[in-house]
Amino acid sequence: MGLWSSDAAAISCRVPEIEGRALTEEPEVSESSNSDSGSRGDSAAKLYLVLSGIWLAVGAVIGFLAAAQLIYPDLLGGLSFLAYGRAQSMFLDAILYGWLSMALTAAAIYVVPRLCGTSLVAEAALKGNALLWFLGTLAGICAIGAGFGGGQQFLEFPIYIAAVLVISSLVTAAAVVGTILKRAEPQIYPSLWYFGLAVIALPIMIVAANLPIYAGVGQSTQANFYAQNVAGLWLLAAGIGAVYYFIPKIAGAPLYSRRIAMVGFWSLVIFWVFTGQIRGIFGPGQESLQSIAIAFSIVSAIPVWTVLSNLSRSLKGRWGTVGRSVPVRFFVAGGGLLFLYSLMMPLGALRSSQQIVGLTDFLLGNTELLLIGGLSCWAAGSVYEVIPRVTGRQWVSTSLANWHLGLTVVGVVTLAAGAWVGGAVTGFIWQAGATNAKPVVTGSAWQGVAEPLRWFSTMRVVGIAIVAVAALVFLTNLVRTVMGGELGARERLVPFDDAGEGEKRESAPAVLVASAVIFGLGLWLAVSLPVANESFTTPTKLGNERQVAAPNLDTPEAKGRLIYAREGCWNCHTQVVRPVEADAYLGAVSVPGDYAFDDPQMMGTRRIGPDLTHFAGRDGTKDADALIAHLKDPHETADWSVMPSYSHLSDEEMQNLVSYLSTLK
Amino acid sequence: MVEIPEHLLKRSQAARSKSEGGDDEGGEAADTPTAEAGGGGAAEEPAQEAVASQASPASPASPATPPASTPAPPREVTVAEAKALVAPAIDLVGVGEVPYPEADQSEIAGGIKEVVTSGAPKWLVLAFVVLPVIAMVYLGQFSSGVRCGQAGKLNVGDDGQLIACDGSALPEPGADVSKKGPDGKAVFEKQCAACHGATGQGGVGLPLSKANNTTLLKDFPEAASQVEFVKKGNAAFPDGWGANKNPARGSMPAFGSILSPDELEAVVAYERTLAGG
Repeated sequence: MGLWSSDAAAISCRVPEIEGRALTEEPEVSESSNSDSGSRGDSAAKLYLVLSGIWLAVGAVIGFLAAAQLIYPDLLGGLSFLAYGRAQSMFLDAILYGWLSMALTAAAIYVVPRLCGTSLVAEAALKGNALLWFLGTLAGICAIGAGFGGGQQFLEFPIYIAAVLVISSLVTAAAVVGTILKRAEPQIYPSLWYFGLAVIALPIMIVAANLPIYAGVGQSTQANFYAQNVAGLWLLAAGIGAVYYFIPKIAGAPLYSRRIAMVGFWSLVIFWVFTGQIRGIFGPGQESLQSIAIAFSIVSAIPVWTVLSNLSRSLKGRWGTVGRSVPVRFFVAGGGLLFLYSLMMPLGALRSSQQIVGLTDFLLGNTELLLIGGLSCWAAGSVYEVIPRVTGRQWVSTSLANWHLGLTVVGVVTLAAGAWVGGAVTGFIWQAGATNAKPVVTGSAWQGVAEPLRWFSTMRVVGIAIVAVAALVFLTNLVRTVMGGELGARERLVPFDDAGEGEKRESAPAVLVASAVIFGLGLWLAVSLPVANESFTTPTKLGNERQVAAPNLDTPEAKGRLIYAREGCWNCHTQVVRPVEADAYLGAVSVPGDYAFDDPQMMGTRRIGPDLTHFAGRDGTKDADALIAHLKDPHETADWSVMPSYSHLSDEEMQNLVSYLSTLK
Repeated sequence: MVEIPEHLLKRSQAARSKSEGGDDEGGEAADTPTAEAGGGGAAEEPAQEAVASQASPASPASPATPPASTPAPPREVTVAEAKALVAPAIDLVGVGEVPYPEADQSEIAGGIKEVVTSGAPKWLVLAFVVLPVIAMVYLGQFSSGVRCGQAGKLNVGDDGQLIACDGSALPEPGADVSKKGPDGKAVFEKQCAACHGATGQGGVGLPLSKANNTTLLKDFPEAASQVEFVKKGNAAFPDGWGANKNPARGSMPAFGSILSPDELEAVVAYERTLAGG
């Protein structure tokens, strides 16, 4: 494919900008040496970008198929590969690991060498690295679909696939940090801090989250830490790095204030790190960690607000750029969605809200707003900006790009609003059931929750369908552009090899090391505090009863637990009873010792089916045969149920699953 | 693809000349004339370059052809030159004002500049102060853990089940909770506390609390007989009242006409919790 080669002859001197601005030509350096220095790194960025676009489309379509099953449970006719529990995990992982991670990695390896005035370290390796990450993600997603997934959000990939991601992210980190260290430009622009933090944090976090050192509550603390920070310290940090470069660059405007950027950087590193436990409020984890997480989620608005205020000051007098430049339009829309997120995150975390919306769809709505809304817009803006510069080809259609943006915003707001309102309605129904002593939280009474929720599930299907259409529009535009966009000039990287004379060289290691230290402190707190508390590892009576399903045992219960994990049962059913009114009549309140042998832990963060903590101990629980019949065809006994059929499980697997469920007393 | 048509260039130049002498932000106003002059001068060169580079494919012999379209032999590039090359041309379209004087900007590789002297907007400074304060107040509120009743939290009984904050069990599922009974404690404080003491310590009337060695539960082993007594008062029992046939003296009034049956039951139940400790 001539597409990928640096076909210098094809490069004319036309202005290749969609927003209409002259590009840097590189006449001084001969074309041969030029292609050696600039284009290899950019070809890695190009590969990352094209692959990322595929993932957005694949992820959004899977997300649509998953969401639709909450209205039509038999939509896919019992196809196990995309059964709801698995598809929901595949959807979010494809967005996070496939689309956002790859697009923002591309932004990092495109921006960093430019700001450093030098060529990218290990350019050749990065191209292979893009394929490695792509294939790792592909293998992980297929593993979930094929039934090899694990049991916690964003951590479903089997451990050997997580190892592939660690290796790939280490290569990226080495390339980015190495480039920063050997830079020719004495100054370190804020984008470099953010990209440096992001690429260092990612491999550390994947390793920390997958360390098999805890069971139960400790593991859930780990998982909460990861789910919040893979979004904040990896994707958000990289996204901020990207907009701090692209907006001033495209607008031709100076960055307004480095000091504001620095405040934002440190508040991200210091505060966001501790917000993980907002995913476990009122749960059996440590109350003090939860309080800190809520308090810090309030302060975590600052990193977002600094970026928005800083860049809007930069755009002063140049807001016309928004009208002309597709990428800037995406960045501004993404900024708006992230501003909304910065309000919704603490709003959903406060205990007063959590007593109602805790464990409902609400938190998922926030996650979707962050990943599919704000960060996706920023990532897409980067793609729109970088593609013409690294391929030398013009976007074939600006109107398709506008459709992409409009549909994404409308779709994601519909999707998230469905989750917020639906979550609040669910929470009030639970609470009303407790206040009136007419519990709706178990058995056939769940109909009282499922039927109102159906309206909001429908709203969410419409939302994700719009997002999926937007993603397909984007992919179409991307593929047509890369395959046959009009050729213009390709941007060249201009390395300059000597540092400025007399200019003071800023110390990169100081910034990077300091952020790594603070980040490590947060990591240590998240990882070591669970151990410091003996109650986490001392099993209660209930905990001991569940030991029969502990990992590495050859019991039917232990095998059944793995089936529960891989089928993604935890995507809809929680196993945690909180000391709030909404959880009245669910049985004994969960304490850490109940989970002493739970590995993988199955506490879950979302309850759109009844809680299963004390499932087997409830009055009126069906016997094994009736339970198997229910799992095979949930609608026979409850036509209102949206639970998928598990008829694809073999008889033995079904027996094992039921054995496991019977330990939930 | 959007190119920069001639008319837009003209328009931006017109806008620029119109904005000459236009006001700038507050304290920077003094710098404006020089800044405008400097900015204008700096913008001119890239402007020509952009025009030339656009025009060159169509008319390679453009008179204003800058070095950009002339292949030149490789040579050493100085930092300053390299920066100038990487720097983007100034946005030509819609430049109505120059909010940040060139003199206050420093350049970085990659075509990025930044304003060297600039303070945070007031609202952001306010947020830096207010948000941490809210966070600290929030933390302080839960400094000794989440208490029952705070943020909807309930208590947990010895058996792990949820109980109300006053220690009472939650109603059985399906129980009729629509009619809330009268508050026995409130009735007691209104009708009984004057004689029996606010905490049942006694006074004109007999003590009712365990701490004051009440005989309540011995006199009335069953709540029903106590209800009967409170309803009718001392005078209705000339032969002595209670299980031990206490002498009929005293002045316990009859509450049958003052309290409803529900209130009688509630206040008796409350008194019996006082007596039981």
